[in-house]
Amino acid sequence: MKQYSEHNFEQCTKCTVCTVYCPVAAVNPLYPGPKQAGPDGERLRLKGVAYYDPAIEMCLNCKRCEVACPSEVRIGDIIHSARIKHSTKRPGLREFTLANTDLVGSVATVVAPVVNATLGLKPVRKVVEGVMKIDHRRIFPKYAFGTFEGWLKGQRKAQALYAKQLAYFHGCYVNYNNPDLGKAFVKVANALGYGVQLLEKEKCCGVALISNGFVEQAKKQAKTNIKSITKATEQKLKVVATSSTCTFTLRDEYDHLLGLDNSAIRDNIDLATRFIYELLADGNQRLEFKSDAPHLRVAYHSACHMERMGWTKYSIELLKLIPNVELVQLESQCCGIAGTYGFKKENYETSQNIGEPLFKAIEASECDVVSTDCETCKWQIEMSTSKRVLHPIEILASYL
Amino acid sequence: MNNQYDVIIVGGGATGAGVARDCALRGIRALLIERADIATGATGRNHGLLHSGARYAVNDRESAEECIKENMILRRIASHCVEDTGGLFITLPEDSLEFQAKFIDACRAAGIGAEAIDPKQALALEPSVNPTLIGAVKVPDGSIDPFRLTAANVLDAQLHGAKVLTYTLVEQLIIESGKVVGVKTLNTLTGERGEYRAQITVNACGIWGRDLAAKAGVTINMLPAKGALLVFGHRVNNVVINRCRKPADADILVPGDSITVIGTTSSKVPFDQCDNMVVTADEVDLLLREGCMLAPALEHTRILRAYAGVRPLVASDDDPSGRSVSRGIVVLDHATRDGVDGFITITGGKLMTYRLMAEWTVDLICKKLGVAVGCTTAVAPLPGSAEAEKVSKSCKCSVHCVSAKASVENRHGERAKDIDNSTAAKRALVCECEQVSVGEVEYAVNCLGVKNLIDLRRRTRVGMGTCQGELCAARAASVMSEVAGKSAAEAKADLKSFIGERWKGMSAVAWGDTLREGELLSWLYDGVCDLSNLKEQK
Amino acid sequence: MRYDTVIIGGGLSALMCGIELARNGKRAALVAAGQSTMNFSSASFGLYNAPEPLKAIAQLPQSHPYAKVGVEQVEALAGVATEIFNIAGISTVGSAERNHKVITPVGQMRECWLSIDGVVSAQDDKLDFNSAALFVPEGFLDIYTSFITSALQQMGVMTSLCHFSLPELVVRRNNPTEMRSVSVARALDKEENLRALASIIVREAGDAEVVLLPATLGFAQNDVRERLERMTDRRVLMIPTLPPSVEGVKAERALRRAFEKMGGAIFAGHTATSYQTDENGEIVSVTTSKDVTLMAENFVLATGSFIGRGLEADRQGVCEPLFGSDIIGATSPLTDIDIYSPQPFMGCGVDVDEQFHILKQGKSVDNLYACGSILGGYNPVKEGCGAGVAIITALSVAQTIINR
Repeated sequence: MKQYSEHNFEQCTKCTVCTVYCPVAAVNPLYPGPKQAGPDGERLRLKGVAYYDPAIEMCLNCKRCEVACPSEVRIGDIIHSARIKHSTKRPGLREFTLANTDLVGSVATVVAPVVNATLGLKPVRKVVEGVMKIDHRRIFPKYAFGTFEGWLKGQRKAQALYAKQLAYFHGCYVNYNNPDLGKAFVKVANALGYGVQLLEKEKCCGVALISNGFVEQAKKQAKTNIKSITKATEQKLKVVATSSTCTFTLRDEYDHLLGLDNSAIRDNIDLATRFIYELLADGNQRLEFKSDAPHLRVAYHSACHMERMGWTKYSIELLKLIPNVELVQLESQCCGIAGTYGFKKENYETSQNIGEPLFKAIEASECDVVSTDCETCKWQIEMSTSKRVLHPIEILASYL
Repeated sequence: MNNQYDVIIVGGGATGAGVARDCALRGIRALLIERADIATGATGRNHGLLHSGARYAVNDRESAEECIKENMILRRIASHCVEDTGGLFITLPEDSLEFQAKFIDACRAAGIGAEAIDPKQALALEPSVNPTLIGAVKVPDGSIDPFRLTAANVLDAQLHGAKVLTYTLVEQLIIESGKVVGVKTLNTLTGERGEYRAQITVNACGIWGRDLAAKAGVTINMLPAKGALLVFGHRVNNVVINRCRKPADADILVPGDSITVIGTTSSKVPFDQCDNMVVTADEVDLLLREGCMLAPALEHTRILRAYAGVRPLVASDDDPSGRSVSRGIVVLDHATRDGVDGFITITGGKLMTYRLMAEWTVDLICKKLGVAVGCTTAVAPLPGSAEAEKVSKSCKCSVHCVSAKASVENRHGERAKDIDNSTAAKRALVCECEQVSVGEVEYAVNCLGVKNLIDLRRRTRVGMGTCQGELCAARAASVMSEVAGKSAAEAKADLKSFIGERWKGMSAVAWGDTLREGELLSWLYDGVCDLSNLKEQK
Repeated sequence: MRYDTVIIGGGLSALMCGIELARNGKRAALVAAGQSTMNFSSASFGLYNAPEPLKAIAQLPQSHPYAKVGVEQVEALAGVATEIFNIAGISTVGSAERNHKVITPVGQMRECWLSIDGVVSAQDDKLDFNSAALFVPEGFLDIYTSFITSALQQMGVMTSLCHFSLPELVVRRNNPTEMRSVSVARALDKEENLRALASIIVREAGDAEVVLLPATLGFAQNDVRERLERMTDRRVLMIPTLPPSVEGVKAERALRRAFEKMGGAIFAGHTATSYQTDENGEIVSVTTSKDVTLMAENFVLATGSFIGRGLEADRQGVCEPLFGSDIIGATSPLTDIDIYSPQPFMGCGVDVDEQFHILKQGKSVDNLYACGSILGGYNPVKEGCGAGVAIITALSVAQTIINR
C-alpha cells in the first residue's frame, strides 16, 4: 500500500510536538522552531525564495525533532536542505578553520605542544574571538603529537596476523586529537580476534563542512569515502567507526543532505559499540575482563546523532557487560555544542543554555566519569562540568 | 432617503462585485446585496485559472479572444491577484499531434501567443509534467485568486461610495406598475428586514439568478453544470498544465498560492442540489486518474480537500455535458426581453470575463440612466495592485518573520501597509500554515467585511493550509470574538461550523495523511473540546 | 537485543502495559515511533461517557474491548491504573464509580474519569468556588479567554480577567509562532519569573477565591502550581490548552521515566518495520527502521490508530501495516460528511480474540497481542473512552502475559 505522501514534509499533521523537544527553541526565542523552519516553511518556500527565512539557520541539526515526530517527517533534513539551497551566507575564515578538521588537524598535530599551549592562553583566545568570532570562553580540544594513522601504519604487520579483519573509520578527532581512543578500539578489536586496517583513503566525514556551508567540498570528500568504503565492502571488510556523528553522517547525511547514493555500503558501516555488542550477544565471542578492576560509576550521555541513529541501547548494554561498572543513564538531551555550532561567538550563550540541564544532571549523578560516543559532546561536557568524559570503548579497553 | 440607490446589484460573486465597482467608478450610487459572503458561489469554486483563452481557441474563438484580452487587462489591474505562471498544453502518446497543429493555428488566430516547444524543454520548464509527453505548447496562462479578486472589487466599490450588504437575502422584488423598483431583504445574521429602492436592479446571482428572475415573473433557462475539483497539499507545479486535446474532464492543473488544483468534472445536477455540492467518490477517482496523466507526482501527493461549483450556463441547447454550451456573456435586458422594466440579468461568461461582463452591464445601465461616463475598469488598478513593483520596498507593514511578511504582501499587495503589525502581539501568527497574523485578522474584520471564520478564510487563507484549521481554528475563533466583538457563544458556534465546513471538504478524500489529520481534527474538536455538545445558541 | 516482551508503541497504552510488566519483573522494551498522542491530550482520561461509567460498560456488546475484559476486571484494572499514575508521580483526581467533569479548552464541561490534579473540574456542573481571577499571559493565543470567562460565568462563577506580562514572555512573543504553552511553562520553571507572577497575582486577584491560569505551570518542574499556591496563598487551578499540552507532555514523560526506572527500555524514534516468525507462526522478533532487531517471548501491538500510524488507509481500504492483522469495522465509506456524527473510521481496528491475541486470517497468534486504540469495535470520541480503553486493555494484556 502506498498511503502516504512522497513529499515528506506533507506527512506533518501540525501536531507541533517537535517544538517541545527542540533544544534551540527552548532557549533561543528568535528561532522559528522546527515546525515553522521545517515542514511549514518548506511548503511556503515552494512559492519562491522570498519565503526563505535566514532565521532557520539557527537550527543546530541535532535532529531531536525527527526523533520526536510521530509522522516520520525528516524535519532536520528539510531545514538543512533548504539552508543548503537558499542560504546567502558565505562561509568565512572561521568557518573554513572549523570545518576543515583534517586540514587544520594535520598541521596542528605536527606542532601540537605549541598549538595547545597557545590556544590555551587567555590573550590568544581573546584574539581568536576578535578575529575569528570564536568565543573566548570556548576551550579547544587539544591536538595530539602525531596522528593515529601514523601509529596504526606502524602496527600494520601485527594487525595483519589476525584471521578476521575490519576497517576502522577513525575520524578526525581520533586521528588528530585523541589517538588513544583509536588505540583502545584496536585493543578491543584485537581481543575479539579482529585485526584493524585503515580504509584505502579516509577523508573527514564532512559533517562540519556541511554545517558550515561547504557543501561542494563535503560532497567531494564524501565521494572519496564512499569509494574507499565500497572497496572495503567488496573485500568483505566491515567498516567500523567509534564516532557516532561520523557514523551517522556516512550512513544517513550523505544520502539525505548531499544527495549521494550510499545504499550499497550503508549497511556495512557500523558503530563500534553496536558492532562489539552484537559480537558478544551472539554468545560465540567473549571478552576476558580484568579480575581486579576498580568500581566505576559511569553516567552515559546519549548524543543527538546517537539518538537519531537509534543505537543508544548498544552502548549502554555494552557498558553494562563490564564487571564493576555501575551505569547511570542520563536523560537524553542535547549538550548544546552540536559540532562546531557552539564554537561560534554568536552561539555561545545558546549553546551553554541548551546544555545547562544536562550539566546539572551530570553533576547530580555523582558519577566518576561521563561516557558518550560523540567527541564534540565530550568537549562540551568537559568544559562545562567537573567530570572527565570517556568513550565507551575507552572504558571497555581499560577493563581488558 | 437612506435606502435609495441608482442601482441594486444582487449577487456578490466576481460579476456582481465587478458591476458594483464599475458603477461606483462611474459615479452611479450602487448597493451590492449578497445572501452569504462574497465569492461563495461559482466565483470561489473553480480552478483559479487565468485563462489565456487557448482552451477555447479551437471550438469557441469568441471566448478565446475575450479571454486573452481580459487576461492582459487583469495582469495590469489585478496584479496582486494574478500570478504569471505561464501555461503548457501537453500532448501525451494517446493524444494526437494533429490536434496540436490545429490548436496552435487557432490560438494565433485568436491573438494568443502559442509556441510549440520540445518535450525536453517542457520538462525543464516544469519538472512535474508527465515525462512521457510527446509535445508541448507554451501559452500565457496564469493563476488568479478569485477571493482576492472579488474582495478587491468590493473594496474599491466601497472606496468609491458603493454600499455592500452581505448575509442579506433578497426575499422579494418590489414591483410597481410592471417595473422593478427595489428589493425587500432579510439579514440572515440579525433577522432584520429591510427595503431598498433603485431605478435598476441587476441580477448577478449566477445559477441562483433563475430564482431571482422568477420573483419578477421572468423565466431564464439555465443549466446547472457541476464541476468538482481537488486541492493538493502544496505547489506541485509552478506552470499551469493543460491537456492539448478537445476540452474534457480534469485536464487542467493550476498552481495557486501555496497549493495546486486539478479540475474539473462536468455533470448536470438538479437545481435543488446547487446549494449543497458533495463531491462523489467517482468524481475523485476521475480527477485523480486524469490528474496523474498531467503530473504523475499527484498520485502520492496529499489531497487537502475536494470541492465543487456550479457553472451558471444559460441553456442554448440540450447538451447534457454542459460543455459545448458557449461560455459567452449573456446580458438580458428584461425590459425589451420580457417587458419588465428596471431589471437586468447578467449571466453566462466566466471568471475571466467578469470585468467585461460588468462593463457591458454598466454600459446598459448608463444608457438607461442617461449617464455619459465611460468605463475605466480596464485601466484603473484594483486596491492592492497599485504600483505593485514597489510594494516590497515601500511596504511599512513590519512583520518579524520573513515568510509572514512575504505572505501578507502576496495577499494584499500594497494594501498590506494598512495592516497593523506594529506590535509583537499583532504579529503573532494565528494560522501558521498560511502565515496569517492577528493584525491581518483585525484588518480583514475591520476593512474587508468579514463576519465569520469562513469569511476570514476567503480573505486571508486562514485554515486553507495543510492542517485545514486543526491548529488555528480555535485561536482564530478566539481572536475573531475579540476583534469583531462577538459573544463567546456566537464565536463557539462559528468555530463549530468552521470545523464542520473544513471536514466537509476533507471527508471525500480522507485516506492517508488526510485521514490522519481528520482523526486529529475529530479528537480535538469533538473529543478534547467537546464541540458536538455545544448547545444551540440563538 | 532480547527482552521478555516487546511492545510496539510508545503511548499511553504501551507505557501502561510496559510498566505493569516491568513492575512484575519482566524485561520489557517499547518501540516508540515518535512522541505519542498523550502530548495532545488535555490532562484528563475518560473511561466512558456516562455518569456511572462502570454501569454503562456492563451493558456493552461483546465486540467492545471493555466487554472482552469484563466489567469486574475493568473496575479492578482501573484501580491498578490509578496506582501506576501514583507511582509515576502523576497526581490525579476522580473515580471509576462516578465520572466528574473537567473544563475543556473552549469552556465546555466534559465527563471524565481521572484528571490531573489542579485542572478546573467539578462534580456535575457545579464548581466548588464562586469567584475566580483568570490570569492570561499577554499575547498568548492558545487560551480562549472569552470562551472560558463566559463558561465560568454561566456556572455562576464571578470571573475577573487580568492580562499579565513578564520580560521573558515579552521576548518570547517577539517570535510570531514560538510563544506556545510549553514556552510559557518553561518561563515559569524559573524561580524569578514565578515570583514575579506571584506578586502580580497578589496585587491583581482581589478577593477571588481561586486563581486560574492556562495549563502552563512548569515544564521541567512538577511542583510549580503548588509553589505558586504557597506564594500567593490562593488556590491555583489550570485551564487545559490544545496541543501540545504541557500536562499531557509531562504525564507522558512521567510514565516514560517510571518505566525506565523499573528497567524498561525505550527505543525512541524507531518504527517497527518487519517481523520474523518461527515454524508455528509465533513471532520471534521485530526489526525497526533503525536496523535494530528485538527478540522476545511476547509481542504487544500498541501502535495506535491512524494518527499513530498503527492503522493505515488508502483508497482501497484499511490495513495494519506491520503484521497484516485482520481488520474489523472497515466500512465504506470510512467517513461521515458531518464531523460531529460518529465517524465510521473510528470503529476500525485489528481483530482480536477474548485475550486480545491478534487474529491473522482468522487464526490467533499465540504470543502476539494488541491493546489501545489500534483495537476496533468502539468509538473513542463519542464514547469518551479513548484513554480508558488504552489503559484497561493494556493492563489486561500485561496480566495475561504475566500469568502465562
